[in-house]
Amino acid sequence: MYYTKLILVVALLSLCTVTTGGCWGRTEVDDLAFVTAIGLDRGEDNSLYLTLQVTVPRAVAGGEGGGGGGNNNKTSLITTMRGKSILGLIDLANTFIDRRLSFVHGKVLIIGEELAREGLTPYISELVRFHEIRRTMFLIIAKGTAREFITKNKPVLEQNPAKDLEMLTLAGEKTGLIPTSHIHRFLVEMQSLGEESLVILAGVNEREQSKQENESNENKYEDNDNILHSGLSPITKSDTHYIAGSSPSVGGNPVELLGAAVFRKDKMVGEITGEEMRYVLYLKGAFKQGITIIEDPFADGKFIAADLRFGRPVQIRLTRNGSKFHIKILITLEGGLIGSQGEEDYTNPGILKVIERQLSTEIEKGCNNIIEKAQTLFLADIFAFGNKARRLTTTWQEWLDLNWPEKFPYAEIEASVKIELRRTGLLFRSPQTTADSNNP
Amino acid sequence: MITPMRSIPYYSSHINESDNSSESESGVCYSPFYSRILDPPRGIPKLSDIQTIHTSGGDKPQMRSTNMGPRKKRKYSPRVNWVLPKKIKKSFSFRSPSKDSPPNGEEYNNETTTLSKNIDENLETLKHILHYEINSDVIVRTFDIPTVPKVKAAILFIDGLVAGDLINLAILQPLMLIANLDTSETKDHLNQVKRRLLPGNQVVEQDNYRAAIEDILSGVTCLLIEGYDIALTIDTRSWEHRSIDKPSSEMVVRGPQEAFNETLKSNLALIRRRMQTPDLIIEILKVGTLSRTDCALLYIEGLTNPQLVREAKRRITRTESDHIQDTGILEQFIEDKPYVLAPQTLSTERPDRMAAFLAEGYVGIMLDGSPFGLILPATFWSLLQSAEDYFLRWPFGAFLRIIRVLALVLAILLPAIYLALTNYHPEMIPTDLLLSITASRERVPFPTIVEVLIMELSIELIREAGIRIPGVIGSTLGIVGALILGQAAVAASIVSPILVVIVAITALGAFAVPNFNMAFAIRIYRFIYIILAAVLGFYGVAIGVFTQLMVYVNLNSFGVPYMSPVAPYTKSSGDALFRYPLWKLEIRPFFLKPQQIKRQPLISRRWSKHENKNNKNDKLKDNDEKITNKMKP
Repeated sequence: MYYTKLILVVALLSLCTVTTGGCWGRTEVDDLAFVTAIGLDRGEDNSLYLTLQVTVPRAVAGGEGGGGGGNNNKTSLITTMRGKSILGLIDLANTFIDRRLSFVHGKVLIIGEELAREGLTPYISELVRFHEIRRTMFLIIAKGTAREFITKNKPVLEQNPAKDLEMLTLAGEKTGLIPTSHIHRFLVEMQSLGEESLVILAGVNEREQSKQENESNENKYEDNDNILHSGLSPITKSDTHYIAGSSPSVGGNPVELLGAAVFRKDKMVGEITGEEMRYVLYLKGAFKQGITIIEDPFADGKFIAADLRFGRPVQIRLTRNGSKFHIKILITLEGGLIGSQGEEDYTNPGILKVIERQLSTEIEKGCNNIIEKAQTLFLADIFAFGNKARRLTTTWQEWLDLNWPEKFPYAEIEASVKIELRRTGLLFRSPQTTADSNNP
Repeated sequence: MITPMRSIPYYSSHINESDNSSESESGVCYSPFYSRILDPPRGIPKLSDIQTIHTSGGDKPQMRSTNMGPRKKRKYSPRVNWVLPKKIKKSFSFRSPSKDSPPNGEEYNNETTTLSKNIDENLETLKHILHYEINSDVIVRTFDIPTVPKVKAAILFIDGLVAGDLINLAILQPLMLIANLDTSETKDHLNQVKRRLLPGNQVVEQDNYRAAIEDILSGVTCLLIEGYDIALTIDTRSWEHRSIDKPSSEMVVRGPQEAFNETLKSNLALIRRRMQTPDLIIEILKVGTLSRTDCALLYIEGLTNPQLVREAKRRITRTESDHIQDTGILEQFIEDKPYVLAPQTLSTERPDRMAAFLAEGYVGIMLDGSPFGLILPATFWSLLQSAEDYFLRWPFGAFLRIIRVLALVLAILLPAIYLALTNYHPEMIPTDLLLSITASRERVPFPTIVEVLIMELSIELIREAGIRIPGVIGSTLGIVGALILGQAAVAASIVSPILVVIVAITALGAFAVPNFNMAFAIRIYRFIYIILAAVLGFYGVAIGVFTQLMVYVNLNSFGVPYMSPVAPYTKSSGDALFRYPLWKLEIRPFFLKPQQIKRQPLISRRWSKHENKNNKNDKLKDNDEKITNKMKP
């Protein structure tokens, strides 16, 4: 009798754990449609275009039935709906997508430029409240529309278009040509008084597009020649001074991530190029590694490439003088000379010194230019100097009263760069072709 | 492979009993027949004489004879009860008593029945008890000892348990051919026979039917002589058995390659050979009311915790069952919690392992007829250890330990984790993997849980069938079956390929666990976890792990916490989850509370310091001298 009761009690208790556990969301993975990219665009009459990219697992995994190459149409399903809110459209999508939509594997949130300029608060706050959305999703601003970007994205190496974007963003962080922008980061920065957001800028390379259009009826090789002869986009002084969609390149995926969209609060106010992005990263101290080129001080029209990284953390000294702020930044970089077109002996410390000086003045100039641009053009503290300024205040109210966004344009900012080149690459001496007399 | 081997000295059980119950020494209660032995009829030596007479029969029988009085009482103490339970007695009853044949089964059961002086009567009784008419292997040989006058004699033995040559040469030949002894002096045939005519090395005098029968059934030849109520039992035991083989379930690459077999005597010799200390105690107990199996209790006197020995002995002697023929059966009678899946004793077929555990202060149990020894108590960690851990250099041993823990976790949890991940938490899977899982699952018509169960059950089927498939093809067929089955199941879209991988890893994990019992427990735990994961996801797995840990932490094996020395934390040499270098293992497991905790000095590689450091050399020498000086009187 005692045991019967005991068993009954134990059974009831375990039934409680089972029924009240709340883990009843059991679904098989093959009953889910995994949305990997979400695109948002401004539609007519204050409406919203929602573009969803749903991966087709069979095609991506290359199962027996699939066998598709990198064709975007096969590896993913792209659909665009028009409506008032993002989540409201999910159920609508399920009227024609046969598996339940799941956002748990969302990789990127792509927002059209027009919408970004209007302000992102309503959409970001709608998304981050939803439990399936990860805040680690990358945020990308597409020049043009998000839909265009998603449909034009045709990865070649990767089968999975979402993974392609993920890889691009991760690779971009290594080169320092795009910022790191997650939804979470954006959410924090758009509310912060001390800093403003920089979001990855994405675009479709138009020239590439035209080339692909031609491809359908013309011979490939001929067409390529035409492109080379007619010339790609005009080049700039630095090889990275472009924004997404305008880089002088041809072939491969027409989609590129380069440069950044500058935000003031939740509104996009401008764009900066890849090179400028790198200067911002120098100033923020978030730069990791990248190749910088300068003109050889000993030979006109020849260039030197240096692989730079931080020698020590960036030093930012912020002082307040009444309502005036002075910010002094010391950037210490070190690295190696990895390539040169010139013929100098770079192991000579004197020559190396000259190059170091040249490099530091270039970077200094670039830094000061982007500071000026931020202060005058964008009126946005994209360098997060405000977070340093906040340390000067003692209370929250004091910080609010300080109104840093107002003060930032008038701050006196001075950046100086110190560079030491530690290595000179694999050659002791450059190959000498013009100075035969010196070499027997 | 089959070689004859002689068995253990059969008196050891009696000696053990005399050690065993010394507490009852004071209340000696003589049986009614005891007086008859004390005051024997003419021609039979008095008790006091026996002591001197018995010198020819080896040293131990001597002891036994001198102890005859009090020993006898103890032998009949209820602890080692020979009396069968009533039900069994009925079904296996000795022949019902009849008026014509005075001694009968009941009398045999009655311990106190002693032999009579009439050889015919004795023979009749023994034949009766042994069911001579219908039992084909009971041999009775009557003959005359050619003394003057002739004396009638008879031998009884069980065919197949004895060495025939030995009986012919060492019993019948001397007694029948060269027995022309002049017994006119003493008229004491028995003594003459024993001292001069029986070259056997173990000869014991038995005065009652029960003892005689017990000996005969163990393969001893019983010699009856006209006019004496004493039966001489001569050890002639020899039977066919398996020779020492390689271990079959605890194989190692490096280390001894011999395993226990079914003969207790040779098993004990294997252990004794690895433990040449007089302190290694081998006590013989009897288990099983019908089988009367010899059960050896092994420990090291002065090292093993006596409480542990007492507890082990108590559980064995207080086990009442008719037929205990293997340590696997005995284990179930003496373990603490039969309803817990985890094995609570450690079984091993390796004598080196048994010896190593004995040296650490564990208690060992061997059963006659069982090629597996039991080691008590078992801890969770000891079930994950293999003999090879110690034979290999320490980094390798430690690495193997870590691999095994990993294997354990994989074997228990992997299918459950897969199930929980795919059913409840797809966001935790890397996207590419998720997509390939999804793609492979698309063609499968069943939910994942059914898939998992199908595969797990097939693996269990293959395992079970693989054991039954005869001979050499067994293992091959098992592997082939598994491969083909997996491949075909995937091709037929019954399961997804990734699941085949998971089930294969899981099966490998279970095989990597060195203890067979533990591997079995794991197989069942796995199913429990699969159900939990299917119903509750990671939440269920967490509940399961929590519960299992609670059960384990709460479990005791012979008074020793199951998870020690980790929980509760006790001093140890770091020989549980990990294995430190051997020279660092300075103490024995603390949770066993051995009488000597230290197993080696702090510096066991004493040569290293002496040779390397010249400065310290002198200091050490001084120290050594000091110590030696102290030791001197």
